[in-house]
Amino acid sequence: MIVASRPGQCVLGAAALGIASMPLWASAWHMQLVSTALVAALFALSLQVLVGATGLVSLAQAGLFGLGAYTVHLLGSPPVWITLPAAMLAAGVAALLIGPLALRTKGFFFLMTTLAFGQMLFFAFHDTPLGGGTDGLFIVRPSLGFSVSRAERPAVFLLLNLSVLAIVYGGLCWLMSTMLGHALQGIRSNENRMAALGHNVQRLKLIAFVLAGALAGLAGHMSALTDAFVSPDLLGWHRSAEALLMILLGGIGALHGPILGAFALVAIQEAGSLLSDRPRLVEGVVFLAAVLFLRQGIAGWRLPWRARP
Amino acid sequence: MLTGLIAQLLNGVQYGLLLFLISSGLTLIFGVMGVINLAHGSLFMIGAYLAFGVASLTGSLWLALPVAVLGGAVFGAVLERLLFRRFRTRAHLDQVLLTFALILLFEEGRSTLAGNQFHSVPVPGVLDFSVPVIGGFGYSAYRLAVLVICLIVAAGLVWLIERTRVGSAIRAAAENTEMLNLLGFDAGRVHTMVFAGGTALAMLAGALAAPLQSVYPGMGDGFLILSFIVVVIGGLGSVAGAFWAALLVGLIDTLGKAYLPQAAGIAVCAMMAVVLLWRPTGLFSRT
Amino acid sequence: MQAESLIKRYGGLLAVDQVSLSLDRGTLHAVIGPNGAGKSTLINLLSGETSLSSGWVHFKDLDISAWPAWRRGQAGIGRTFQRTNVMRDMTVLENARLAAQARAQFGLLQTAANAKVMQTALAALQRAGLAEAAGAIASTLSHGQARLLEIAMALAGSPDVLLLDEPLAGLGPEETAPVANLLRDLARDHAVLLVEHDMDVVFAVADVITVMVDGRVLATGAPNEIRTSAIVRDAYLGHSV
Repeated sequence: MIVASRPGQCVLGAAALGIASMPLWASAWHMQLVSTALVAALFALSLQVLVGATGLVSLAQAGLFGLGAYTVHLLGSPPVWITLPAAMLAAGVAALLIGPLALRTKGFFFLMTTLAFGQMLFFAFHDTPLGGGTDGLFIVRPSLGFSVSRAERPAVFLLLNLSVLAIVYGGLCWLMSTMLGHALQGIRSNENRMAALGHNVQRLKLIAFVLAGALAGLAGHMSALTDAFVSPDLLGWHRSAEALLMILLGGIGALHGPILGAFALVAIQEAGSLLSDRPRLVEGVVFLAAVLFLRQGIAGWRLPWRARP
Repeated sequence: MLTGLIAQLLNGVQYGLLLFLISSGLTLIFGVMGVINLAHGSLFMIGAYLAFGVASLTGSLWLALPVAVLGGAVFGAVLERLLFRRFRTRAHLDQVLLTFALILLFEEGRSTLAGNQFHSVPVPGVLDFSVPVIGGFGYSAYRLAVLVICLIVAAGLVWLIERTRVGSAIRAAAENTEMLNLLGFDAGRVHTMVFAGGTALAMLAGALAAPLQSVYPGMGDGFLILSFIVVVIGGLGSVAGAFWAALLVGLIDTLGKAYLPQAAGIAVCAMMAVVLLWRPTGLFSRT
Repeated sequence: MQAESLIKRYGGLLAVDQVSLSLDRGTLHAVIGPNGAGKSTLINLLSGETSLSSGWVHFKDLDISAWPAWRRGQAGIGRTFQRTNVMRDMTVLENARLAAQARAQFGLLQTAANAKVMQTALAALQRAGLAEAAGAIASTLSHGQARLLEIAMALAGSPDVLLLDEPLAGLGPEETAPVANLLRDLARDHAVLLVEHDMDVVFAVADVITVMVDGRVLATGAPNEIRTSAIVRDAYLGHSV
């Protein structure tokens, strides 16, 4: 999996700066939209650890995302420096419990097992009082340690989400250059040979699964924080499929692919609801076109960004 | 209490049999073609809406059944020829996304053509009575009819798969597609047939189910997840496996919803997890 | 490594029937036999790709009969595959690094370009004669180079035992000679098991030869004994030697 080269990183950095400057020139609505895209990008990035790096296509990520979001609600919204680690921990532990079971299966069965576990989490919040009702509920935002006025909110959350995404992306870039990162990519490339070489493939996959889970929980937490709303729909497998689409749109072969894909999808969804009264139709057509024609994703169209660490 | 239990058991079996109609198509499609079809639940929904449409126009549900079957077969054949043929060899990710796109498109199509409200389809007049079962309580005759129809279809399917030349082609294809060409069958024709058949079965199930639960958006969702669980538990490509697994899942889901509604969904998923732990490729796996 | 009375049953078929052999450091033990004799199954049983129906495998005083393939690889049993089985979308060097990394004692969060791992990987490539191709993507290699990569990867794990499954498969005459020399060289500091069809090479490099037919061992001995054995000649060699 490609990590962007110097010129590529510069472009990403410039884009990040551009976003960071939005509080100076953009409207609240625009900032909220970009915040949504940033959280989606974080979620898709968490899935990329499984799909792009290790070759595991999982439909359980949304369940872990939603779990992270609901952690905020279940804890009663203590300050953010408690909820953030708690969300990651909850999702990570759930992944640690699901992982050994799901990873006993491969390919189609893995897809189905993760679908089932994701749905289990969905039902846990949809059918029981845990979820506060099938339509979701508004929650109290965890305090950030400083007070934020209503007018300041969009800007503050924009910068917060941007920072979290940047830190996670940077961390994953580094991870891909370590032995662990390379081993995961080896598994994606040829799992059987990796085992023959002496790698403990099951353990490596589990590490990836738990890491991806914790990051999904983080994304869920940021979603709850930004929107002050949680609902069982966050855990539905449709959301997992959307994350897969973001990865496909942006380019499965690039670490920054999910980021590009998330922004692309949010833009398309916005355009869809502005331009037509059938946004889901637009989304369906986009899905279809992307799958039929986009093999490399957006990251693949541009100048090939190659860097072998 | 006992009569209630008996009613729920019958409901569970009937639900399981409907689930079997849907899952058998799904398991064959994956077993034979290697394609994951998330849109299968939508086909069920289309069958139900079709029944609603035919019943509203002609006043007869019976007409809807052959329409659903034939329409389903044609629709399935077209889908296979146009789209799924190209996706046989693509990665699972691509198949998931393609069929997810189809779900969205079908939903939108339905929304445009039939709106978003709930519609009810009346039970055919001739079956609109109660059959006395044990203990003097009555069970809906229509439900019993559905049960019988499903059993007949199931028997027919098993006969087709196990006893006919076509069936052995399908079984061979489930094991090894290259063998198919070597044995003198046209792999393309077999695939189209299997897909058409699977689609027809799902739509038939939808048509049968229409009077039982109203016709509404998203009615395919619950069946989709359950049918995937059935396929996994039963083993890919195994119709017999789908049968027993469907009965099991149908019973657990129905009884769960009746007596422990909060745990029903979780219970079914947990059961799948348990089966996978014990037999990672399903109970009756052929592959 | 020592294998005793290995049996592998597939339904009614005995793919490997009571095969015993031993591998010692410094010796090259070749296994020959007609197609279907069970040679590849034997390697799979030793490397852990296939599970035993019965019998024992010992490695350095440990009973590894029930160990999965990855554990055996970890312990120092390296193998090559008959059909090239590498990480096709990664470079030659990365392939070798992944092999070296598997047995490295470092934590996983060390940089992949770790000096020790690089050294081991490059040394293995060097020995296999692939040093100049280090930057090439594995799928672009010629068949001959790919076979060398197979060997390099097995070497990069610094194994004690090398199980080589038809390393010469598909090689032309000019490519065969350097690989044969490599094999002889490898035998000096490893325990090598070689499954091969090329009789000239086998008789030139092997210290011990085992002949397998129909899953059973027909004869085991020094090359000269095997060459002159009437039993072997009747069953297999015919007039090709």
